[in-house]
Amino acid sequence: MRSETTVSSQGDLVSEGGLPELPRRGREDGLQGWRRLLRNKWVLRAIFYGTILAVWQATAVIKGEFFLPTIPQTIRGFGEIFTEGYAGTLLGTLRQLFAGFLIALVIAIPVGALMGRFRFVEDVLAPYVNTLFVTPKQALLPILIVAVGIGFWYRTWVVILFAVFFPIINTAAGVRYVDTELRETARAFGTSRWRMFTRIYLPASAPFVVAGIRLGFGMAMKGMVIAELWIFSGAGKLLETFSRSPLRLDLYYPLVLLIIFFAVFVNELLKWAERKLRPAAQATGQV
Amino acid sequence: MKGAVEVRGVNKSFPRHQGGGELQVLNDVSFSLDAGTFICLVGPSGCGKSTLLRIIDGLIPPDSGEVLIGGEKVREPSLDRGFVFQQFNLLPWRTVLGNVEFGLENLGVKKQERRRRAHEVIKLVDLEGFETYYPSQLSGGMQQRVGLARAIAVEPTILLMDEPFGSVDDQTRMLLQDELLKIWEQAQKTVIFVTHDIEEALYLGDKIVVMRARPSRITRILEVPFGRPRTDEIRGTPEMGHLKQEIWEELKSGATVEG
Repeated sequence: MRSETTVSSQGDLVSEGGLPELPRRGREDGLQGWRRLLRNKWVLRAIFYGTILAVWQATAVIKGEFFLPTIPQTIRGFGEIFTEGYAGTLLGTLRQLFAGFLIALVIAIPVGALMGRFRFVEDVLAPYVNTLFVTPKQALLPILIVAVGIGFWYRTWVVILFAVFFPIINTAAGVRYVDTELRETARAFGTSRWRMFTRIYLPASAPFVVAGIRLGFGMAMKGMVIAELWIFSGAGKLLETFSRSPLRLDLYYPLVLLIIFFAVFVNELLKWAERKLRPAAQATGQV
Repeated sequence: MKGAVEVRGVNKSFPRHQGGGELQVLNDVSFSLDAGTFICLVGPSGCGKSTLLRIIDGLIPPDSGEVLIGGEKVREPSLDRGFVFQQFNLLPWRTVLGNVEFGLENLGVKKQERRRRAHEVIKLVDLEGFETYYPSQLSGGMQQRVGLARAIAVEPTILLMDEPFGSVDDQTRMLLQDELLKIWEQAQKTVIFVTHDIEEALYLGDKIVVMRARPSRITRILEVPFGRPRTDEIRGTPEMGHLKQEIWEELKSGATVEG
């Protein structure tokens, strides 16, 4: 704590160029401590989420379990999801999610890179990419069911369809906007065409590519659930079952939370990778 | 000779951004210089001096005319020439060491040898101890030292410098000029140095090529009378004052409102 600085009664500026300290400062110390505590983001979050949990529990008790399960019921529900054989179903969902997502990336990154690098590729593909990008993919699901049935490839294709566009568009933008200056520099230093890709385009556009992957993953999750709701299988089937008669909201809510937690976890992982790849972040050593 | 440069009747036009048509940037430019000469291209902005430098390097092709280096026609950039850019153009995701090694990698120099040579030139430009820093952690002056180190690491016979000290503060610029002279006096490479700063040109160069804008052409080639090694004292001599005035008159008579 700072000692009390004496201030002349006239309130003259006293110390070396500093603002004159007001005598009432000392009296406010208790209040200051509270303020500092309130400025801590963890304290704020604890208060915020604590309030939400309290409201949840109160609502559940008042309205009854057909509206909202209580917190203990929900926690028990988490356990039940893993013990009652639902885990296998969810694992199957996850497997198809990743299969579709990886295929989407394998398609998207080279396509995006070529679109960003070569004008003619962009000219040919951009209309399709842009059209499909803005098309509500749900509208295409019946066509897909007719085309590939409702097996493994149906769900995988839905995920691809949902996930593929962000990485394409982002990668293309990242490659397209590689500085003219950097390209010129690389040419001046005798960089071959192939090395141009690996030494300049790739590192320069990496943060864009990862951002595209992250956005694509969000879409993949969405695609997976929507695909399953349509054909009544996997996690989508469980979601629907739990929310129908006989109502199992004590399982429904944990499942929804599980899906959210999983999506947030992967999203944070990719955000971390994105920051790691940004040159400025490397420079300050902070990630 | 190996580092001799001959520019023969070079013309270059660019399409205008507005109103169509073409803007002639270089109009029948010719000059030659001997190996080991330090030459400065001086002219107002827009006179095409940076374009000329890029044509000499092979980064952009001339519309007509040719550039011969050591008797051979320039077709594309080569690591026989080192380029230093006004905006440094360092690779932001590479450290100082990584940036200096960039050209050497393209030359196919083995890793160990690359390290050795990179450390050597980093020492030459006084950046020892900063090898692991990223460009964004360095001041403008230090970044340009990296730019210079990258260019000389490949041991080029010709150094092409495009207003290299144009975006650093005055004090740093003067320090960098002295460092450049120190390095040049050791290695005696051919240097083509583009600047709009007349004093800088007189302080550094053996010869000054004065260019004028629209139509862009060389109006004069001038021998700099100062001996070497050069020191800061010549900056204040009456002779420096006279020559600055003379070149300024030359540039002013060709300057237009547009320029």
